[in-house]
This record gives sequence, C-alpha cells and structure tokens, in this order.
Amino acid sequence: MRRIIHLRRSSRLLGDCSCSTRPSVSSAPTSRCLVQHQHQHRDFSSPASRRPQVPAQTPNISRSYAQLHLKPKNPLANYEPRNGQVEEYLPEEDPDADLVDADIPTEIKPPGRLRSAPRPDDVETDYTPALTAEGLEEVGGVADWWEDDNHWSPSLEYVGFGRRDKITDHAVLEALTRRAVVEALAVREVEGEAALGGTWQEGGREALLRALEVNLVVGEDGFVALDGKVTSIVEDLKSRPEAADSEQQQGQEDFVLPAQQATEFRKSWDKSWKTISLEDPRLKFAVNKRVQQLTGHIIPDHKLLTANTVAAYLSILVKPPPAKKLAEVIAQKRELLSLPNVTVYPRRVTPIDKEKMVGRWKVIVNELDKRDLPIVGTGGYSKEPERKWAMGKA
Amino acid sequence: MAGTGVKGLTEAMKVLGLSSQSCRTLPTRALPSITRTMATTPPSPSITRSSSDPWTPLTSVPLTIYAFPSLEPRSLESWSTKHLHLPLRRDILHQAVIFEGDAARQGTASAKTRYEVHGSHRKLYRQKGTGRARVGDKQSPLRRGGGKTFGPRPRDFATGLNRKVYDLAWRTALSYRYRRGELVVTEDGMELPLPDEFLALVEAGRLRGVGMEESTELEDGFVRRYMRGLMKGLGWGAENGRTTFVTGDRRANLFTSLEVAGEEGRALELEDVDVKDLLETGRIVIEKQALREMIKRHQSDLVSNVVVNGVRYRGPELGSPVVGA
Repeated sequence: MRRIIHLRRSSRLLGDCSCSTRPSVSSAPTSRCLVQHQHQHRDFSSPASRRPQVPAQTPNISRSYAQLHLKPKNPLANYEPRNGQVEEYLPEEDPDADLVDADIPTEIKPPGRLRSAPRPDDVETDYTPALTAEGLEEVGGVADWWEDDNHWSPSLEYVGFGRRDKITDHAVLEALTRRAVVEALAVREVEGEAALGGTWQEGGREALLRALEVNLVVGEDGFVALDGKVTSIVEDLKSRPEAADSEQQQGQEDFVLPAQQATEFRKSWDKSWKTISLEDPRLKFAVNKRVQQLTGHIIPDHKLLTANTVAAYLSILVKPPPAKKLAEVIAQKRELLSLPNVTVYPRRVTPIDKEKMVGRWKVIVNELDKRDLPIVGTGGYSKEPERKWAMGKA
Repeated sequence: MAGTGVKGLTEAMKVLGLSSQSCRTLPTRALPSITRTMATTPPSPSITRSSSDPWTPLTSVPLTIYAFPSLEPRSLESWSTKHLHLPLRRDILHQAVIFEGDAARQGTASAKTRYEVHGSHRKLYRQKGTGRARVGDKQSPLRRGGGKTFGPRPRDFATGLNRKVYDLAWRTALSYRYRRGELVVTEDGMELPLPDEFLALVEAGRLRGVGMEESTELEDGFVRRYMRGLMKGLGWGAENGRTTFVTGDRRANLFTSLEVAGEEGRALELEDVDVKDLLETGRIVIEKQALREMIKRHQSDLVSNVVVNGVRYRGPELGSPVVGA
C-alpha cells in the first residue's frame, strides 16, 4: 500500500469543529477545521493502546488509493477506451461537466477526459508521418499539470493567523504594539483575565484609530489607567458573524496605517507608556498574540522571556532583519565607511578590478584580442613547461 | 665563586625585571576616544552580580502552543528550565549522535575465511621437485581467490552511553532548539488540511486517467504544489532549511504529503525520533502531547528512585498551563 489519504469529513462532524475565527474565503485551506476530528490520537498515558485505533463510527474515512478503481460504480466509465492512438489530456472547457459527482464545487481545473488524435489516414491533408522521433516536440503528460497557474486556484494559497507580508516600518510597528497593549488592557479591565487568551477580530480603520486615541496613564506604582472608549474597543474585538463575509469588512481589514500617520501618533504619546509592565504572562501572551496578528512577526518564546516592559518588547520587535553578508553589516554600522583610508567593497577585489581601477583593462583586452588570446581564463592552454623543468620535475 | 655570580645575576634581573617599579610609571599613550564594538565583546556589561544580591536563577520558561497550520497562539505553558532551557553541551550531543549512529549500523559485512571458501583442500602440487614455491591448498589467503585473513565478520557495533547522559542529550537538543526559536509546539492532532475539492476529486477517481489507474502523477503534482505554497507561507520550506514534524502516530495526509514533497520537510512518528533528528533541518514542529511524552521518557537524570517518607521525587512538572487550556 503506497499511500492513504484522509477523505472529506462527513457533514456530521462539520458542526462541532472549532475553526479559526478569522474570516476568510471558505475554500481556503486554513479556514477549514484545523484539527481532523476523524483522527484517533495515540493515548500516551495508557501503554496498552499504543497503536492508533480506527474509529468505528466513521467508515471509509481512510482508503487506499489502490482500492479506488475497485469500486462497483466505475468512475472511469466516461473515459473513452485506449486504442493505441495518440492520446493526450486536454483541458475541458467546463471541467464540472466531466465530474462524476456533479456537486463537487471546485475552482481548480483537473485535466479533462482523455482524447485521441485522429489517425493520419482519416485526415485529408498532405500530412507525412515522421519516421524517427528525433527533433519531434514532446506533448502530453500530466506531471506538471498543476504548475500551470491556469489550473490552480488562488484560494489554495496559505492564509495564516498573522499578516502575510510583515510590517517593517518602525513607527507603524510601535503604533500597532500600542494598539495591542491598549486592547489587552481594555479586555482585562472589562472582561477579566480569562478573556486574554481568546482570538480577536483584526478590525478595520475605525477600530485602529479608536485604540490609538486612548490615553494611557501610568501611575507611580505601575498601575495603568485607560482614558478612552474602553467598552467600544472591547466590542470591536468580538467577532460579528453577520459582517464577516461582507465586502466592506474585507476592504477594511486590508487597511495599513501609513508611516507618516504612525509617526505623528508616536510624537503625540507620552513616553511613559513604554514603562508598562508585561510581567503578567497572560497580558504578555495577549499582547504578543495581537502583535503577531497585526504585524505578522512571530517572536519566539525565548526572546519574550526578557521582555518585561513594553520598551523591552519593542526592542525585540523593532529590529532590522539580520544582515546576510559581511558587506551589509559594515554598511549598516557605517564606522568603517567614514574612515578616509578604508574602502569597502561588496565582493572580492579581483585582478581585473584592480586593472580597471587604473584604467588599464581596456588596453589589456585590446592587446589580447590582437593576439587572439583568451581574455579570461587560460583558454585550454597549459602552463609553460619551462617552469616545470626549472622545478626539477620531469 | 658561583654564589657571587648568581647574586650578581639576581641583581641584574631586578634592575631589568618586569616587576620593576619603573615600568608602572611609564606614561601610557592616551587611547583615542573611539569606541569599537568587537564581535567577542559581550553585549551588556551586566554579567557580574554583587555578592550581596540574592542569586535567583531562572526556574521556568514559557512555551506557546500554536494551532497548525495557522500558527495562531492558542495557549501558554510554563516548563522547567531543566526540560527546555539547559545549557548547550556540544560534547553530550556529539556522544549521543555517535551512540545512535553506532547502534544503527547494520553490521552484516562478512568475508569468507579460508575455511569457508568453496573448493577442495587438496594440496595443489607436491612439496618438492617442481621448482616452484611450496603451496598448500587453493583457499590460502595468499592466493587469488583464497580466503580473507582478517575480513569483516557480522557483529554488533553498538556502543554504550549512560542512560542519564543520553537523556540529558535529548533535553539539551530540545533546549538548543527552544533557545534558537526553532521549536514550534502545536496543539494535539496536528494534521495537514488538504483542500476539500482535491479530496473530492480523489474520491471520485477524477485524477486517474484510463490506463493510468496506478499512476499518482496528478495527485502527487497537486500535493507538491500545495505543500510548497503552505511551507513558503509559513517560512518553513526548502529555502528556510526544511522542517521536521513530529507527531504521536502517523497522520495520513501529513506524512504522505511530505513523502511526496520531501524537499520541504520530513515527518516522523515519536517512536522514530532520535537526538540526531532533533538537530537536523531548520526547525522542529512537534505536538504538545508528543513533546510531553518525549521529555517524560528522557528525564532519568531528574527523577529519583529513592522513596523518602513514601514519596518518590518524580522530577519537575511536565508543563503547567498558564493561559488557555
């Protein structure tokens, strides 16, 4: 048996699946239930049941591919029999028309039925068959069928929890962190600590501005008071199923705070908000989760260990991506670049580069051309044998 | 005479010696005020601690449990530093990898000795009178086609390693991954969500043509592209050093897809994981329950076999929930 694939869930199981609350296109892979309920997981606690058990209530969940063509109802009946002629899969104009189960909603385009080209003697043309295969174009085959974007569906692209394209602008990152802190504090104030682990709506432009306009008052003892529309902020975070699929909601979610606006916001805030303590692991979890959702940055646990204030958290989050090359590191630090006697090159300075620097390279090329000698490399010529003799070798 | 010489020498050394006071009074050249950051310089000078401050080492580290494949943080756990925050010990990791490699050797190489090589053991020709060198039988190791003198014999190459050292290596490997942010723990039941429409097409036999019932070309092609997109979106794919998935038991879609798209990563059952597997590829993605079981099985150096007052110390707690379930 080569492979087993889990087939579709039965509709009975669809009701109780705990899908991600993020609204997305229904056919996107991540919008589906993230946990396969049909699966019986190994019970680690009981040593007797080490092997996975197949649940008895859901038969035909997993089926070997080899069994598929043994079904009594032959799904291949629609295909024409193979008769030794030239055959090729051709894309159907209407792929749904060829499906056995007409109710399969599909955006991808599988190959259509197998069609045969007419025999040469049936066609009244001056066609002469080739006698050798050499030089003939190879057609057909389905190995690369799905590499064609026309057969693929964009709805199959990955949609994660966080933004797909990470936000890198410093001011925007800081503004979104402030939003996350405000929202986490608001939820803690209104609904209590237990609600900090939940999943929140990404929210549109209004929700963002409402959260950024909240004033954070940090007391001497570290107590933080929220000065703003706290309850409406908490309401923004709750999912509204009726608005989830609407176009307007979709448009709002794509809103990205412009960098200029973020900078203005940053100037208007008192710096004391960065001293807010993140010692409470629940609050830190909520802030970090929200920042991941809004910015796309995933901060590993080990780095979060030392982030006990908002300022420390920001120092981890707002950081340029690490340079991959030494020249980039030097360019970032700008120390060596300012020295008068130091020049930094992004790559090795080759002998050709040195000749170019003194303007001799063109002359060399001309002279080599005149003598019909290779410009670069040895051109297959060996080294001079005299050198070998001088070294005392045979 | 000699005594005087030595005395003179000592005096001369005193004058010239490095411990001479005059060296300290030499003016030192004032260094320019440029501050340079060397690669070997520690980032912060706060590595020392006053002896009056109490020593409060870290006892627990947080561990976020993610949903797969959305990577939504679902819950937070607290784990002992003895489980997930051990210092890197390359020597112990090396010992463990060598130990596993030795034990994995097949050890079936076998060459025939002169007593196993087929043929007669008759003396080839008489001892004297031929003018040729004296010989015995045809199977002599000196002759072509003869037996091998000290050839390989089937044997067990396994070496020993103390259980506590090996268990420490497991947790050191996990700690190394944790510290580098390369340990991703997911909720239980990690499985690849293949699209419904693909599964429906497979179920309908729509991806197998006439005469190609045994060919999985179309299905594999679909899975390969789907997996590539998913892993690229996660930043876990081929260009990010591949990913090892560890689950409690075989998950059909995940394992099959990664067999097809092996360039993106690999999937292993818990039983098949070694320390070496934990050190390969770009990151480890493991189910919560599998991680718990892995650490539970490899903490012999933390638990005690001695019962005191009817209680046996069973090691630090295997993860305590902080946020969420």
